[in-house]
Amino acid sequence: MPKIKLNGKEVEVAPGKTVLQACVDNGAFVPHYCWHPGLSPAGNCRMCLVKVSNSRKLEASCMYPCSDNLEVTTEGPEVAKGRQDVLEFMLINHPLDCPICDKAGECDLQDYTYAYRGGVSRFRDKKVIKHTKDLGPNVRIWGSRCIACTRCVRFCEEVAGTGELCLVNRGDHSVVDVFPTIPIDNPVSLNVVDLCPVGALIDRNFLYQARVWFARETESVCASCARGCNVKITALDNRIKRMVPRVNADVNTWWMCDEGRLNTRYLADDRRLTASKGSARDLDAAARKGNFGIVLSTYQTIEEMWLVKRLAEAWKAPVGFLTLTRGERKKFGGLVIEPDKTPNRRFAEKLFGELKPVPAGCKGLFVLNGIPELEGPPELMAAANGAEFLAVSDLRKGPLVEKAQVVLPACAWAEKDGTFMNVDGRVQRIRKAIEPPAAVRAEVAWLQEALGTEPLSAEGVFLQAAKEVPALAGLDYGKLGNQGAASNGH
Amino acid sequence: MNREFGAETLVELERICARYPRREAALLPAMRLLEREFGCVDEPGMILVAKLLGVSPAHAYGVLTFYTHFRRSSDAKVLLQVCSTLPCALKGSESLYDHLKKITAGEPAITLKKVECLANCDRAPCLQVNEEYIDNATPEMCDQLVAQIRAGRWTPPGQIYSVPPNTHQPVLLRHVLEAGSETMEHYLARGGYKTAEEIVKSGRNPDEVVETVFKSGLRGRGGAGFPTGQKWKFLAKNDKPRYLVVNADESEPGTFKDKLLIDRDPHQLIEGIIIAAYAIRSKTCYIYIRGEFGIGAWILQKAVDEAYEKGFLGRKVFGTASEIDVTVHRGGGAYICGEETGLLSSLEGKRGNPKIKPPFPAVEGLFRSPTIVNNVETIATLPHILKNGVEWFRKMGTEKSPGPKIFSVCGHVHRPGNYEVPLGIPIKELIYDLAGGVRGGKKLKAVIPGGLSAPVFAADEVDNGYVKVDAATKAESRVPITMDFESIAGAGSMLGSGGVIVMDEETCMVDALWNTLRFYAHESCGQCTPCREGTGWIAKLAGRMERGGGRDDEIALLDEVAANMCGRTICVLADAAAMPARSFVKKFRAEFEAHARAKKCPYKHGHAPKPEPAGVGSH
Repeated sequence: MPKIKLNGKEVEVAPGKTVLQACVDNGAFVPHYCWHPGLSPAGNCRMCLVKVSNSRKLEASCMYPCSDNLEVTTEGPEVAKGRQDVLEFMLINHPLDCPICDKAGECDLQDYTYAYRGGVSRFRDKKVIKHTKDLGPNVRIWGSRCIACTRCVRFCEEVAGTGELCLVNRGDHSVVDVFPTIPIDNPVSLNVVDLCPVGALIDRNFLYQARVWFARETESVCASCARGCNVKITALDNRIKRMVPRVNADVNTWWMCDEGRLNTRYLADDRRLTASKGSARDLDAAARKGNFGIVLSTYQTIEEMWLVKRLAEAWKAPVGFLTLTRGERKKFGGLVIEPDKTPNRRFAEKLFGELKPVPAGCKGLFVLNGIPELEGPPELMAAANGAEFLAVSDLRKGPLVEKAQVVLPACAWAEKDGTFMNVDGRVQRIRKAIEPPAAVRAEVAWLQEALGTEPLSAEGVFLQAAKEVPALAGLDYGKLGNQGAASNGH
Repeated sequence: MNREFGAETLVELERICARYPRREAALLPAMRLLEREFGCVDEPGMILVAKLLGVSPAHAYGVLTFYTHFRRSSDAKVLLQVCSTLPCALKGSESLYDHLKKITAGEPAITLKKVECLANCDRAPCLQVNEEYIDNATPEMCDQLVAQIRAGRWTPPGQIYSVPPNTHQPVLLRHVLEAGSETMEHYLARGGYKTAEEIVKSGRNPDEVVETVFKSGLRGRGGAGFPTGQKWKFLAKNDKPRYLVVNADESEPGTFKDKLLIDRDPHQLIEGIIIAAYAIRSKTCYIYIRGEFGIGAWILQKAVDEAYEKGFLGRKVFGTASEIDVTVHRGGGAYICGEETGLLSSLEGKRGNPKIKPPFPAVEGLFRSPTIVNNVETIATLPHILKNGVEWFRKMGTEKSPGPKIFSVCGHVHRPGNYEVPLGIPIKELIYDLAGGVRGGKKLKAVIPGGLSAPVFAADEVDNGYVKVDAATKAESRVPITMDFESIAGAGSMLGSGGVIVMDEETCMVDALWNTLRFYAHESCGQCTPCREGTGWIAKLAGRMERGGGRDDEIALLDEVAANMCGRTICVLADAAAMPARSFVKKFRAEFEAHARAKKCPYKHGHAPKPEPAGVGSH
């Protein structure tokens, strides 16, 4: 392995690594725009200039190979001057419209400019104006903000495989565009917005929705399929404004799909179920009369499933499942979109074995449906119609809820704490990002009420479950951290 | 609307695709097919070729918009392009454009555009009507031209070739003015292809040929002056195919030698290709010819076809087991495709973005295979070296810059044109004796010695030599400038492509710089930040200065911004823009100051200061 001297300190570098990778791996700060670990290098932004011992000029570290005994300097007046100059060039045609730019507050151009320059512009001439327009259903471009780093173009070519974006024109008229009649419309299109180091590409759904510094960010996991992409939920005024991926090499690498990102609207749906009818104790009383069945969706958390299992044992009730699969398994680089559109089926199978269908012919039925888009499939409606007693927990109003004697509104995944086990058996935490509607209580709270046990937090329930469920052995919330952990036996 | 190619065109496209290891490399040729079949490259056409070549329509669109020479759906039947780069501008192309704009206004049959250097600088100002060149254009000629186009009876005048008298015996240019010099018969009659045939048939070790070229000291004639034999020796030894690429993208403003070699002696070039391909063990050669050379591409293709017919190219070269395929690949109008890695990107069917080095093309170039890129003049010199020997070659020129070299002289001289002379002749001999000095009895003001990218010399340096400071004693002395790589570099400029642009005393240097910088701003590929933004910025600074809006402190700013562009980019286009800017400011600062002071251009407003030729050391 080659050894290089990085800011005077000797470090070992894996063969084939570039100077920038060596800097990133060893904690030396090197500003960059066009380089991204998930994309091929382009070497065009010239921001990652460093001093290397075998060149008289500054070199772009993202393309510079590490050779043995290479001395690399990432700081000092010469390097700083190089970066200042590149930033000055970057800003001359940039509109500096930060006050109305949605990237403000999380913009690399802002951050590096703040770090490297004063606020004086020496440019007095007319700026080049480039197009502002929609590039697709979810993406809008402010071309004048574009720094032509081509991250988005490379993403569409290398990861999405759809190639809708290109750089058009040349010189200072270069700007990202689509073919005139073909919009960017692919399952992972919004990643280009995250990739954009400036405010050129904006998520149309997030446009003018929030100043990020007023918003609250919560680390969580997407619930829209069994992959469990690691996400950050941005919320303001108790509304989810957007979701962006967090890096997790074992789950989703740097990316997530558009469907998952945008699958938050049901939280503020007009038909959201907010009022309860009866109580968990009523449910327990009815269930204890016998011939009782439970219907559980694979959208429920590990903690909820664990509590339901205990209820089923107490009530001697069979448990049937609501699941949802749609489409094919799709792979985009390190991201897989799973056909299983629920986040916790894998754990349900660990806990209950093979998932059984909705139990038929029960006198009483308890339906726990957290699947946002699933409303009363025929076999469930048939079972409900045949039952004398019906208790329902759901997100939205519907025919089932109207029929029910006991209604316990469901808490959406972003409104509660808990854990999911993804398709690979990885256990990951979800965290409460917003408050549920006023009268809505977390499922773990009323499930414990039904059980008549001492109420514990989700974390406490998990600890209990971990003691008894082999797949969870040895795990706790601390061990799960923000990257999750493989479950026992994986 | 859907576009479809006819069956014959589809076969033609497949034949083109078969000449490249990847289909997408045929993107530029496919766009030429669209032009031919449908009159332009439009959106449905792009969708068609994208589908046929297996690329995304967006990729095709990005590529198309990179190049300026493809006919677009908004272009009229007659595309009139006025060369607007410095050599033509010095001869009045800007007022010619204004005149044409007036007389073509509202004319639906004509689209008028400005175009960058057409490599016809000895016949400036020039324009292009579709593929045809119009030389030495005057307003009267334009009136006539437009009237004829309107009446639908314009016929191309045909290109005139001339080479001014020269006291040195030409080598490469010896036959270019003879009737039929471009034909196979003519080339064979003067002993052509004998050298290549002898080498190929001898079955001698190709390394010996490399060694001969190495020993001859031949240096690349395209601009960088890198020793050709040395470049060949850098070729990576692996089992990938090796490519020979001929750089016929002559587009350094002020340079027009390759065009003459292509148009008038294409077989000399092809013989050189056979020798080079044999030497470097390449079976595949691409000639990348700039898009504006439509006629040159046609002539070259005809010559290549003739050579295939004769069995000099193809499967059994000269009846031996040697193979060499030559493909003429036409560019799309982009100066940066003359940069060797930009050229390779373009040849791969992409935007002409230069690639990061290392790896150098000799190690990993075209289609990621070892590749040699040589200029037309370099390749055309090979038959002469191999025929006459290293000693003969080295008798011409200097120790480090041996051999003959073609200098293209243009601008305000009596006899603009191509002068083939031994390297190392005095710059004064070239400008005053051969080219006849400054026309109209005017005084010399400045000379750009090696194509537009080279730093400018003030008249004083040309006339009296550059100031050399002895490193030890700090003593100053004057050293005459000679036309070889070392001398010009010693004087702070570069020999480059050998395009010599001469400016007389009435030239406004601020205006000349503005024109120069507009060229680079237009031609920057746009990938590296300092170049993409910097070329535009310094062009705007110079422009404002020329128009009277400049401030005194912005002279230093111009120099500093230019300095900040240097050495920070993937290729040297940024430096090529910055070096002229810095040298203009350094050597003609007084003129910039006069503009800033007067708040207008002193030259264009009647009271030009009879400026003292601003020499080195005078400021």
